[in-house]
Amino acid sequence: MMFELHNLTRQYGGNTVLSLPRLSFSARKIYALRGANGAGKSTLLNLLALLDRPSAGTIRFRGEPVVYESAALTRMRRRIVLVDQNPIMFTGTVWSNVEYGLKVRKLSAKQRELRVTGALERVDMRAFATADARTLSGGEGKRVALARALALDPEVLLCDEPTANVDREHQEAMLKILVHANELNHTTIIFATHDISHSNRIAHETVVLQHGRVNTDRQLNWYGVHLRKTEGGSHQIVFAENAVLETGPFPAGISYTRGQRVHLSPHLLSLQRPGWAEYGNGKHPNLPGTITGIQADKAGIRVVVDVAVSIDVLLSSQEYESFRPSVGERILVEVPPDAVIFDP
Amino acid sequence: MILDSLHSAFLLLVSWDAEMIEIVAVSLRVSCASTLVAALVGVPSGVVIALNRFPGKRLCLTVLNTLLALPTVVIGLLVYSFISRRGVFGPLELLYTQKAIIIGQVILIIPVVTTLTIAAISRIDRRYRRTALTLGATSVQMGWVILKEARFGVMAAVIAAFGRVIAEVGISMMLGGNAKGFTRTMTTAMALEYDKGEFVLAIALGAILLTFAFSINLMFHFLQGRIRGDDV
Amino acid sequence: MRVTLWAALAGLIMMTSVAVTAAADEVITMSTTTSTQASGLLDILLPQFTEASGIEVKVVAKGTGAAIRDGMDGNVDVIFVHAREREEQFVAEGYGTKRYAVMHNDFVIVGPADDPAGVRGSGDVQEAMKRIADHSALFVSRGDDSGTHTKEQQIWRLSGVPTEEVGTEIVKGGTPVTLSFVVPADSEGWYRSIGQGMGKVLTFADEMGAYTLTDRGTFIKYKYGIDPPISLEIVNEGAPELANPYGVIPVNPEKFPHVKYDQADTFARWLVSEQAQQLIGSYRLEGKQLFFPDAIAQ
Repeated sequence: MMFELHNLTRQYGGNTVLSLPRLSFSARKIYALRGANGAGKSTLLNLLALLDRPSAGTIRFRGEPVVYESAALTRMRRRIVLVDQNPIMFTGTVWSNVEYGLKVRKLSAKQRELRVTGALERVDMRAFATADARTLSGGEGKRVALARALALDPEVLLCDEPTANVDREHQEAMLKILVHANELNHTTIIFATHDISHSNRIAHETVVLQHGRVNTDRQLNWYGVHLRKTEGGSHQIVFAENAVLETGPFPAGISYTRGQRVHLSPHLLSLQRPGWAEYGNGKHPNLPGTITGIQADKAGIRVVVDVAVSIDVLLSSQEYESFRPSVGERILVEVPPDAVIFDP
Repeated sequence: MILDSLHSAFLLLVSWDAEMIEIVAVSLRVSCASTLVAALVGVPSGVVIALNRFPGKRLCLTVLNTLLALPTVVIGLLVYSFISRRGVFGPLELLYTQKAIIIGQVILIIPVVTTLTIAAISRIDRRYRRTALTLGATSVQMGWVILKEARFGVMAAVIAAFGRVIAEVGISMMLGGNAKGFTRTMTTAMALEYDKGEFVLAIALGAILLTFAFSINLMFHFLQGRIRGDDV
Repeated sequence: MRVTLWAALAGLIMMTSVAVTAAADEVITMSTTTSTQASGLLDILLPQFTEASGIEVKVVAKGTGAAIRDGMDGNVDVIFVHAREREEQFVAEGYGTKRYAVMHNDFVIVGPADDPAGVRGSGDVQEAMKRIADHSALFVSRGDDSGTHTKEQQIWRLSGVPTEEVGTEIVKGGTPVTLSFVVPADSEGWYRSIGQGMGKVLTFADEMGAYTLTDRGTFIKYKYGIDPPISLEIVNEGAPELANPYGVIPVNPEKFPHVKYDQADTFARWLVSEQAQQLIGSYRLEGKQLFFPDAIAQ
């Protein structure tokens, strides 16, 4: 095992942003961390990079418990590298940036030369070696940051959103580099993304985070739907004949064919009583239905609504207390745009 | 009368008067020495304070900020009581020497260098720290990287400190004693000349001091520009 | 960038080392009064002494009180001041070895040209002070425990004008000390104690149209040596009470073993030698004789 997390929590100012009773990552694999913004992906990456301390619980790295004491921590940290979502470059050339980690490890000049050249070639940035690192574009910067990490030949490479905010060409290149590092150097790779297609393509395993917890019931709320555009120009997701959701424009690359799969995130859905929506309280499109079940769950209160298909809605205990739904009640399931995830 | 004095002062300046040059040299030596010592102490302390979280940090910052307002005469008095023959360090024979002035001035500007260094370091994006650490830097190596990224701000801190000591009069007068050829600095000489009612040398020295202040401000301005440029 | 930084640093270090090695061995420290230094006499005397003896004199100028205090603390090797009673006390208490009478000048009472209190022609100095008090005419006092201030208090006591003691806290030799000064009674309206040097007191008195007590040297400087001159004029002079003798005293090595007694004593003896006495007697400020040698007959 590369990492074993046990009863790990991280709190900021009294809010628990991460709570992982048990989670482990094996060596030599590629893991995708998925989840919405604020789900705890970056927090987890920081903890794994040993840049942050858990509020409680333990992390074991290669079977050894992590000790947050300066010298030992530096020794362990030198086997793991994190590449930020928006990497920052030190003042100086691209070359000196890639060389930095080798310098602090006191490698010989010859060794450094070899490794820096190799790393820059792997990300296809050799031509930029003498360029001022601060003048790079977003995509170029990400590639140099990746080279800066790869030059160190770490056991674990952590990447926060390696494909975000870059054009398609850079995205493909980044994914290729990650796969290569895994295949050639047997580097364990854990990368955060919110792009399902990327995680599906290269990850051996996917961990989905929701509200700082691992979401194990990914199969819930998945529907085969029919997408259509009406003559009036609005977009509709058809779950069933009498369960049609009006939405905004579909994401690029979605084909209007039958057999499209759509996921509704249970914790982003909310409930409305029918009368209220007519008075203008409903902010988002909704689906009318009947409550068929309510059950307490580790993550909160799970309300099952029949809208012709069965939809799970996850409420926090406060939301449940104030709303007080009951079984058999007629209800509207409100669907905000970010609750809808398309499987391409 | 002012015009006459100005004229004579100008002549003194262009004739490169030996007494004037000696006074300027003493001033520069003393100020450079105290700035150097204060920088060697203040910059590392500033880096350590800025980069670490420790109990009492807020109190530490408050104390430093209070010390910024410490009047030169208070420092002069304090140091005097230590290095006077009757004081604890009397046997070191420091009073009325350049070393005495340097000691007082170092105390005066260590808070300046430290607080401005802390400010300069705090302005540096936190990602630099994280990046250095994840690339394997020890805390000392990380501090060095941050210091390099904050170099313009830190240089500005040192220059500000130099500007403070070169223009300071209380400590130089009380601890140096304004002894001609030994501890007579630009400011103490100006005070003396004023006492004597003779303005020529005072005006010449004032002009030199103003020139220094002006160049210091220019440098400060330039560095401020570089600091702002960094943030883009 | 890096090269210039290191070069600047190296330069700084070199300058610093020069600063620290500047002090030579044959240097004695002397505390004296600001008026002595401001008179310019030392600029004539000291180079001659250094030439004759090879000893350099480092001059620290302060008010008389602080100058004597420096001697009592062992901060200097020799003192050169003008407050006779206090100098004798200094020797009596063992702080100094011997007082050498070097020279004297005198104090004068100056006031505005129109002389609102009618001090001119008052004859003796006691009467002069009485008239100032009687007219409640503005009077500026040094108020700084200097030799001039000491003299002023002495004259107020002699004048028969009712006086009172006022306590003030001043900083002296590094510690705050409460001192009591003699001032004329009920004088809040016209008596100004400003705690400044002689020059500042003269310009202050000139601006305010006030009377004050000054040493002749500083007055000549401000009356004839600067442009525009002050408009104050001498309204009373010549009384024996107004004599201002200067003495030089080496600090006692039995009290402070570290002092450079031999060199200090050489200096003191040189000041009363024929060479120095002649230099003093021939010194002119704005064409006027300032100091009268006391050690040899002219």
